Amino acid sequence: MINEFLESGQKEIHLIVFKLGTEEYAVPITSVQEIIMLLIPTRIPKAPTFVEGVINLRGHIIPIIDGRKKFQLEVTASTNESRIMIIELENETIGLIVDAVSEVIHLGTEDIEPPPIDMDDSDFLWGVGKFQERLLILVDPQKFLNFNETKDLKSLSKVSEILKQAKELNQPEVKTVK
Amino acid sequence: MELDQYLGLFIDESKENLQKLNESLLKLESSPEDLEILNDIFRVAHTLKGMSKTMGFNNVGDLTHNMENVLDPLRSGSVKTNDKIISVLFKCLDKLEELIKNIIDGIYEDKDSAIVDLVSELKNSLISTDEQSSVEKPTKGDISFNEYELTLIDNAKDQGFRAVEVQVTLVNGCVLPGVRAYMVVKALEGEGELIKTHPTVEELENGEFEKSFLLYLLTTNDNDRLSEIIDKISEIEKVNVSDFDVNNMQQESKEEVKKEIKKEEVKEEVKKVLVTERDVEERTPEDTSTVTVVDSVVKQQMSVKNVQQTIRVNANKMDKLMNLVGELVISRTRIVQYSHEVRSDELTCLVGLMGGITTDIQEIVMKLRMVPIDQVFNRFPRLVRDISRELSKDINLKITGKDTEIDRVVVDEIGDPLVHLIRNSLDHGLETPEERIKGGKSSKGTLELLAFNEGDNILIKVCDDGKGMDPEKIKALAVKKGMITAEQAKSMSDKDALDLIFAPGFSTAKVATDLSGRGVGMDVVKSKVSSLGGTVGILSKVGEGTTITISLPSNMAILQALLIKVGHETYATPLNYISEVIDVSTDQVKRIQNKEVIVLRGKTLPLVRLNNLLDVPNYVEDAEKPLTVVVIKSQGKCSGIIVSELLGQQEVVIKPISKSLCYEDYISGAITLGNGQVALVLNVNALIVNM
Repeated sequence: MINEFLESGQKEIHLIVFKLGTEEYAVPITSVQEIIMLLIPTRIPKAPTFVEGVINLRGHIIPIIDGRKKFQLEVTASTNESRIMIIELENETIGLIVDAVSEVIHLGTEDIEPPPIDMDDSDFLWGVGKFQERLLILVDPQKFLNFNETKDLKSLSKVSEILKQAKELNQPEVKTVK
Repeated sequence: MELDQYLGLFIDESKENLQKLNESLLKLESSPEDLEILNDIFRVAHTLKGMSKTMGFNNVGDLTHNMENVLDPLRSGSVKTNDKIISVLFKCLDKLEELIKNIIDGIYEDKDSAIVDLVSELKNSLISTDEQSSVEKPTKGDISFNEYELTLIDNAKDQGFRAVEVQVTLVNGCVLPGVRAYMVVKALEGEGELIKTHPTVEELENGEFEKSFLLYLLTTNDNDRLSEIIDKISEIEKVNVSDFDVNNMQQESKEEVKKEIKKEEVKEEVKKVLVTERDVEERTPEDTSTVTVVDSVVKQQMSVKNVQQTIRVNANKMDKLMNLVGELVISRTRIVQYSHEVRSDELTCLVGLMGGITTDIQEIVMKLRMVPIDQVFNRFPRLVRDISRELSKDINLKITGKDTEIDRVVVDEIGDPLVHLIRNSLDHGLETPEERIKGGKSSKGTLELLAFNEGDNILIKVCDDGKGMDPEKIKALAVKKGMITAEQAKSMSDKDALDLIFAPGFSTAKVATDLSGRGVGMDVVKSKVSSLGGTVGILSKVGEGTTITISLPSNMAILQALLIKVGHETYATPLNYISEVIDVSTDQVKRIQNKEVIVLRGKTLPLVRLNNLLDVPNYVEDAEKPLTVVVIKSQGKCSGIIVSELLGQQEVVIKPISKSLCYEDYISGAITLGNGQVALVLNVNALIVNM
């Protein structure tokens, strides 16, 4: 994804920022169809735990993934801020429950750090974005929103490691600005 | 010019044309002399050439152009159709199909060495036949006169002219055939009015003809004088001048002009035909030649009449329409429910009216989804031809009921399983001619493909009169493979034994040879069919043949479902799988081998607790209350599912849900309920299999 973006020669990318737990994530705005209020999904028997079920969105049946469960964060009750982001993937449309959708931003190429450790092709993280002294985890929805659990653990530990490194790098910078 | 917008159209039409080409080539193979078929093929090649050149697909254009070059002498009769040419044409067809497929996939390349090879092969096919049949005379087959020429001839006759046909043959090794031909034409022009030549004057002057050519002349001179004049020209081998009767040609020329005939003229012709028909009746029955002519003309008229107007519609738009109609049906259900609560006469009346209209719309839209099964069947004649040649078996393919309509979704899905079944039949079911004669059967094997409606289902049968399958052998193999025990095998009925071939793991290459091959990938066939909501059955008699029956629901989109509740969750069960609903008190439930069963009319019925199977949360069972058991039936097996509550019957639109979410196959889709919530559809087949 990072490569496609860099090759396209765009100077900046349009992102939607959302919150899950303490971290902020971002996906390209082009992949988000719409953002809707929470609905109660219909449970699917024997589905992985992070699959909340399916909802009816104007006649379309859309599977819903709980972002907290997918990222293996502590599960809390939904709040007024909670939303479902309807995300269009190549072959299907999937809803992602997030704690909050905060804003739409433009992020310049120079503010995107490619993932520091070598990621294999199936990893959903494609970079860390710096935006107003915040760190955004840039997620490739196509790779992130799948229904298999096994890979996630490995990817997740990588992501937290990357984030830690990025923060360490970012820290002195923040100080100098101050 | 922006061509992309025409691409879809181009692809559709090309597919249609290739299909036509396929059919015509198959026909040509059985009657290589038929001019009408050759003309059809030529027309298709020509259309393809025109379209593809416009679209810039020069590969397709070149190939079809060269096909035309081969077909032209065939049409004119100067070269006879032979097996070699037909097989090259088939190769071209395959290549064209591949090219079109590439275009669809967007991987079209303008350079393809295979085409160059094919083109040279095409050219070679002609050369070799040239040697065999170079002495062939041009036949009159495709010489036709247009209306202008006909009136010309008619008028000339009235003024005392005669129409003559002059056939000129040049000597072998004529150095300048063009010049000789030119001289002949010049000489004849002085003797009368030259109305037509075959080939055309330009082609004659360029020497583009086989040894002989035809000239049509209006003249007052007699035949001998004409031949004398031509004989004076050197290098002429033979001149044949004969009177020429326009009426003989009329029939043929009519056909040629047919395309341009306006409606009135068609009517006139019908009248004419009717008159001739009456004439025929008055004549003696021996006069068959006229009868056949009349027959063919009548057929032509029929085909003119039967042409129905159609429009092409983008498949996506159709899907959207289906979706919206589905929503409309659901909304209607909601309004009906609401009107019951409100109890207003006026509202009930209006809702009733609207209900009628929506039902009509729904019916029409559902019919739009239906396409003739011919779209699946039409590739089989070719398949059977190829395989039976490969195996050197003599097989007659009979297709019945190709007009039977099935859902568009099924068309895409059912092709592969059918190919599988047909391959099996050809490969292992049907014997070689020698074996068949030994077995006291006719040397030609029959493979029959049938499609017909039965109730709400569509049945597709693949029957062969081959050697059939031996249940004992199947049992023995299943025991050997450890699928059943020897004891089980003994008590097993023949029917159950045959069903073993559908079991996964039964089919391997080794089994295939041991067991005369049946069962290759039959489990794949079965799973495909059951994913479409259908069933597969098998009947086989040793020595007499095998029949495999696929039963599919005729309508994939809207179906009647029973809504049930398990705990707090709502599920839908397709009604066509439900045989009855019964209440059973808890003490009637017995246990056999740790499985719950009840006895229903003398038969044991295994029970399924849906709450366990589907991990329904917060499920509380009232021990006092009798159990509600829905008896489901599929493929001759029954079981009872225990539900908490019945909610009623409803028309539902099944929508697919991501396959990767249907764990263990218990769920086959989802529906939206009147209140906007989603309910899942149970896959009855999976529930039964897991007994």
